[in-house]
Amino acid sequence: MENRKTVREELEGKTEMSLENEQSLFEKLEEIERDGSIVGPLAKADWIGIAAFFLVLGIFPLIYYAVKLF
Amino acid sequence: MSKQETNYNQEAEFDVLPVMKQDREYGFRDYSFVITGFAVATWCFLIGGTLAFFVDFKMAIVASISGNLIAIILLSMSTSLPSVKYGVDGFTSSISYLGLNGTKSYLVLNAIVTVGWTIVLCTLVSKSAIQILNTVTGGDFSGNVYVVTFGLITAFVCWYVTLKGPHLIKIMNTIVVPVFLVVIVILIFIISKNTGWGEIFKMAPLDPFDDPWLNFLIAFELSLGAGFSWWPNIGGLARICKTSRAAFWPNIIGLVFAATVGTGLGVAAALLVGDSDPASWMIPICGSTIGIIALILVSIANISANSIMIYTTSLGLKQIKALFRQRWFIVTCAYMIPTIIGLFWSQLIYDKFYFILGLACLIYCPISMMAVVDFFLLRNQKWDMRQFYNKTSGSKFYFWKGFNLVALFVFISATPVYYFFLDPVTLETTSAFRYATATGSVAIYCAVVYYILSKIICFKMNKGGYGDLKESA
Repeated sequence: MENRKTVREELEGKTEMSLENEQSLFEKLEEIERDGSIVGPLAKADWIGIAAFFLVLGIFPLIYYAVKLF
Repeated sequence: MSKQETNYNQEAEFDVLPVMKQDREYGFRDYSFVITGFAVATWCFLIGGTLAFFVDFKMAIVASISGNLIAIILLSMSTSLPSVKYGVDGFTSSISYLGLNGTKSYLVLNAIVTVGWTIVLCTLVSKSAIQILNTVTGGDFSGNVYVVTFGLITAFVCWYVTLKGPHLIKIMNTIVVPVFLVVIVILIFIISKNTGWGEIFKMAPLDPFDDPWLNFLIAFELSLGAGFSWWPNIGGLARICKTSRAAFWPNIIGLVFAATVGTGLGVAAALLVGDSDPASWMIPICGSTIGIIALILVSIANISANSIMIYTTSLGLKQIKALFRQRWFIVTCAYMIPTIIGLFWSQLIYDKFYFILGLACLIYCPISMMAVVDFFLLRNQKWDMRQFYNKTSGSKFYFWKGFNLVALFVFISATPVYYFFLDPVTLETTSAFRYATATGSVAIYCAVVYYILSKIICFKMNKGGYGDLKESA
């Protein structure tokens, strides 16, 4: 509740929104600030997968054709 | 103000609120279906037709996967991951690195790209109608007057659908995916039966340059452009995903692999018919009756896709103060008037359709790279969410009069960097292009310069709220 009060003090009348949406915004911002985010970030395994995809299917074909055609 | 007008304003406002976990609809599988349906559409045929000019079937598939994959990974890091974490769309999140007014200018730039796509899709419907008329009547309606006239009629139909509101658009949205899938299945079946994929693999490109490496690089560059073109859409979709994993990997499944299936089919059809124009493929490949049905189905899909684009972009334009209190009709006019004017040059725009892919690279690549550097390196994946919604000069994202001058400099200076390698209008390349693609160079340039200048200027002058993050850490 304390946090919602500070959100309200900082933003009330400054959002260019209707009162109804502004109220909803304050509630959501309080919840996000309390939890740090709405959902967690990607796991390390995902980042390894992304790097592998990037290299194998993104960069290697370029290198392959560069060697073959350049 | 009528009740419906109030609804549009409410929806425009509601569109920028964070979407909380309990309100999110898409799991991994749901989003995979949605994004695949979105990806496999007429633009795949258009891109495939263009790739067929430069490379053969095999090289087109490789270039499409490689280019799309790199673009989609960067794009997903710039919009999907921040959007799913905090529940805001890509345009709202761009306030953190462009500034409040910078984002509004960006909305207008984005609308220009979307208008380009609308003109191309209207022209495709127009050309499909002409093909049908030519086949049915035996006459020749291929003149520019007919192309423009049918294009204008299509634009007014799309506008009408948009004005009828989201309900009709939602109904039409459900039509697009199955309709297009039917066309794809028909084409795959007929090509497999009549020609065979072995023959397609042997066919030479339509009008390549003498240098095979240059042809591959052009195909790769166009595929990067196709990937970056998704920027406006995927942030908005990611914010309704339940997990970061669900927001990221389906982009690879749909926008890279499924889109490549559609693009590959486009390349095959173009090589088979010897023409890059998708409107001219159906009747020679499928025969008169099935060809006409396929053209009608593709046209319905195009009208639906156009209406969705007009609706979502117009809703985005409502975030600009001058348009927010305007009637919905006036807001859509801001989108449709340039479209209608552009349709008088529809043949030129349609023939140079790849220019839109170049424009997409020029706009979305710098934005994506700045977003990635800003969120992952400068802000350590943390946002002060209050600053997005404070529309006064007191917001830390106000920068200088609402513009982040560092981002503005990087964005503007990226254009000559791109032109140093490639002219997106004529596809004329410089000798430097053989050593580094235009978009690849722009990406590295933007990331490095934005990082250095932000550290030197924004951090030192305490602009953008970077200092607060350092203190809280």
